[in-house]
Amino acid sequence: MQMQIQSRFLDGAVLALIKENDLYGYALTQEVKSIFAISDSTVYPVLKRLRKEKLVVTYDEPFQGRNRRYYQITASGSAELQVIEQEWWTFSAKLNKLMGERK
Amino acid sequence: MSKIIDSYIKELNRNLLNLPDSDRQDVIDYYHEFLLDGDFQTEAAIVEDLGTPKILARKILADYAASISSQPDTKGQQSSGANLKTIWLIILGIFAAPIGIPLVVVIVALMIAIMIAFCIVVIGFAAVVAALIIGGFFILCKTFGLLWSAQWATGLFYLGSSLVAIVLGMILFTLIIKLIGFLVAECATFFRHIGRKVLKKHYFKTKVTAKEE
Repeated sequence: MQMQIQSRFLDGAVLALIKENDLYGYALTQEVKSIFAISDSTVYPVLKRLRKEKLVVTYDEPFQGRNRRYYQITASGSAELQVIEQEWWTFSAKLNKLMGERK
Repeated sequence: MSKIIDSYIKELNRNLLNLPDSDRQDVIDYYHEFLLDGDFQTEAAIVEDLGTPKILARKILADYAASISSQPDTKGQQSSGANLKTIWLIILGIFAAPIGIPLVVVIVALMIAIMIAFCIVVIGFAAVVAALIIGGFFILCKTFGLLWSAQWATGLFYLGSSLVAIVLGMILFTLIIKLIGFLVAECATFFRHIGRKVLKKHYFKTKVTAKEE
């Protein structure tokens, strides 16, 4: 199935994944790719925007002689995620109702 | 393996020289870490996931332009240099964005028109200022001969006139500098507006597809 989804729900997916676990760029990209058919270069701008809006913060952790940058959700990030979840539930409930009726 | 990654990153960096240093460093660090974590063995594998360094750089530039387009207007707080940089980056971003050719033609025409109008206004004012200052000095030099002759009164008149012209020129000069700053700030606002329209619509909201289960 291929369909277009608002970038708002991509933000929501990224926030939800980071909320579960702090993640680094590559791992997060793989997680997002398991849900959406996005290219690898789609995640960076999302993270940058979320960081600028202070919805996520970063910290570096040493790994094999270099640093890995982990992304962590903030309190306002959790609040924003709740708003996006609410929007998603409203949207999908309407669609479920409509699709259910047609059957 | 690390050599392949290094050369990819180097090439990416070379294509991002237009970005401000801190932003460039951030994105370079991100993709460097990304490639190391992904354990990419061949250049083909990297290109398959991220595209060539050039393609990736274009995407980054387009995203950057979109993000500075949507920044709240900083008119008046930014220097003219910063405003010009903003305009330049948005132009680069628009060219890097995957948008239709007709739209690019329209935008290019619009930009050329704006630049021509801008230059004409500035050149016109600069000519007035130059005429006043250079003319003033020219007359000033000529009058010195007259001052010590029988026509000292005429000389005095010209001396006064030339000083007035020079001062007027200097006052106008500072006004022009202000005017240029104002026009550049207006252009930056305008380009932000275009950037928002073009980049948001044609770049940000597409391409996300739900994956087949």
